[in-house]
Amino acid sequence: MIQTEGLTFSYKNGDIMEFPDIDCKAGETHLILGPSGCGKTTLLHLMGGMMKPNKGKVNINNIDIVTLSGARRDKFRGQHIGLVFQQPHFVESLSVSENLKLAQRLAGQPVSESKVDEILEQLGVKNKKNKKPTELSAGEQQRVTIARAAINRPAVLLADEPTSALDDQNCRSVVELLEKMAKQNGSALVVVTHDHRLTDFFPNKTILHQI
Amino acid sequence: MSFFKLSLKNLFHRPLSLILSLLLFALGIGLISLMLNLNKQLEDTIDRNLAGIDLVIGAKGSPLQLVLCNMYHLDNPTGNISVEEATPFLRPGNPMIEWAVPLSLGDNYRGYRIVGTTAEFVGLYDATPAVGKIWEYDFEVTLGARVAADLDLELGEEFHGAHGLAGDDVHVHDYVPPYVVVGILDRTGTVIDKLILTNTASVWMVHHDHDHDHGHDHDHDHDHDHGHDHDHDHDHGPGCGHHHEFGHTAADQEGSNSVDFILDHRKENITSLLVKFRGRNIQTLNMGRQINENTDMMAASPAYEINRLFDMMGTGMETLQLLGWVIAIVSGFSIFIALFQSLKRRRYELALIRVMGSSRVGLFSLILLEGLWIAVGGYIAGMVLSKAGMVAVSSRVESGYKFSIESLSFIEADLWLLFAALAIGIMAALIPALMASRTDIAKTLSKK
Repeated sequence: MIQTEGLTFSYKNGDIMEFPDIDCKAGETHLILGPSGCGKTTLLHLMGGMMKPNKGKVNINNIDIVTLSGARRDKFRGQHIGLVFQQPHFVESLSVSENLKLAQRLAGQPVSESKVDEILEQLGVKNKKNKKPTELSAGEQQRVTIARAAINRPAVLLADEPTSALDDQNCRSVVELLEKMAKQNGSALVVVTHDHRLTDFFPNKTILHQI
Repeated sequence: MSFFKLSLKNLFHRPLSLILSLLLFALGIGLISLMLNLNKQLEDTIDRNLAGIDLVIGAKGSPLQLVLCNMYHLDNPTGNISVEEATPFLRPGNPMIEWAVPLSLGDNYRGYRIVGTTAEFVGLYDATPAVGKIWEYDFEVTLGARVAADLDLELGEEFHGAHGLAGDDVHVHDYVPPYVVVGILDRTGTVIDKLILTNTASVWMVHHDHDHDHGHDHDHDHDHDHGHDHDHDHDHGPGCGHHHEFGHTAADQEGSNSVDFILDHRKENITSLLVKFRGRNIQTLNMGRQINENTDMMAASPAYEINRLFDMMGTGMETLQLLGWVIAIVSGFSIFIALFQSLKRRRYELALIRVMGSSRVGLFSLILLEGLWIAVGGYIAGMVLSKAGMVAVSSRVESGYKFSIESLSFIEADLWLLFAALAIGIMAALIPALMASRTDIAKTLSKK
């Protein structure tokens, strides 16, 4: 589960942004919707411990990650937070399965070939496991990033515009796969997007407005 | 997928860039190592053969040539000196001289020099017979280990020497009895390994027989028993075995191996004297100069001449070594540039690695490792180049000068070079690694 409380963030230009509290229980989903520039990516980065807020708390499994020191926060993120971005990023020199194994290792999990195979199977990209990520299509790449985000059974799955680069069909299947992974792993799924195609999929929503 | 493996995978992902960096590094390290090794082997070879010799006395000419010819057996003799001239230095009892060993050169057998000398010569190089014995009588030879091995000579075998010091065999001394192998020395790693040793009398006999210009030595009568045959049909100087018959009894030749025997033949020639001073003082320091000024002979100090030689060659070697360092440093820059550029390309990747749980220290060590791999790989490749170079040089030295040099040994400098290589790798990777560690995940990933 993930829970934010009174998060504020001040940008370099002096603007201070206050965010509504988000509460997403294990196995639940939450959509944060808003136009570009409304601060939704900032919110996601605060929730993922990649930025520090001025004030407020980010509780994940009852640990306030704002209070964790740098290296411990990195480790915590690797273990408990799965991140999916709009642009699928990979370690270029590694194959699909090696990318997943790196995720296991960096999270301090045992490296398990069978777990890698299982999740790639579930996401329908097992036949690509020995390919380099650059050889995959956009839809396939996004599936692999979901696999990487979910492989360590994180408490929280955070997705930043996961569908905006995809066509309708891929968009639908990516949302379904995210939900499937969240449900299966008992993760709280938080999706940040301006993609209105997603509104129908998520019962819980927070809408951010342009400042 | 440890960072060790990941850093390697990252390098192999860009093979051309990797090859360029490795090649430059290997060239730099290889060149430096080759120069250091050559220098070391050269110095070792020269030091091993100093044999405590303080002064070489011979005919006037080039002092360096005198040293190279008589100590290293590389160059031709400057000429001969007469026993009479050499006597003050050869005669036992000179207070300034601890020992003096006479050498007579002039012949070879299949390219290996035949040296007429006294048994003390063997002691200079701490050599002992591996089989057989030290020569005792005329035309007995004791072979250096290398000669015996290369020419496949065994005890009891006979051969004729040929005139000159090169192995062209144009003029074989087959009008005198053949040399007989009576001993083979163990391997010393010194110049004695490539010499064929006999007594001075044998060398004289070979040349007198040929030249018929032997100086008849009438300065002494026959009251000393040096075992010369007196049934010659004319009275030639002892040692000039014109009709020197073999089958002398041991008693006949008693002493023909000794310094006294040589001193008795004042009109004969020798090529040089190897001299060790008794202590060091003003007199010994001036001995060389006095010989040069007051006699028809020349004295050369091996230490001085070899230093001169090193100075001459040193410039070239130092230049090449410097070039090696320049290449190594340029290769350091090439590693730096390669890593620096890869950071730009890989910024998402680095942010991702942190998203997946790596700390800043993790990213720092990842990039540092990439630099270190190139350094280690370049060092290993450089050593291969250096040793290959040494093998090539040593085979040329072996065939050309019959000196064996260690080509595949690692010297201390090679170890230092490893540290230098690691230092270059670390310095080249340090700034990129620091930059990688400062990757701001949020900023990088929010850039679309």
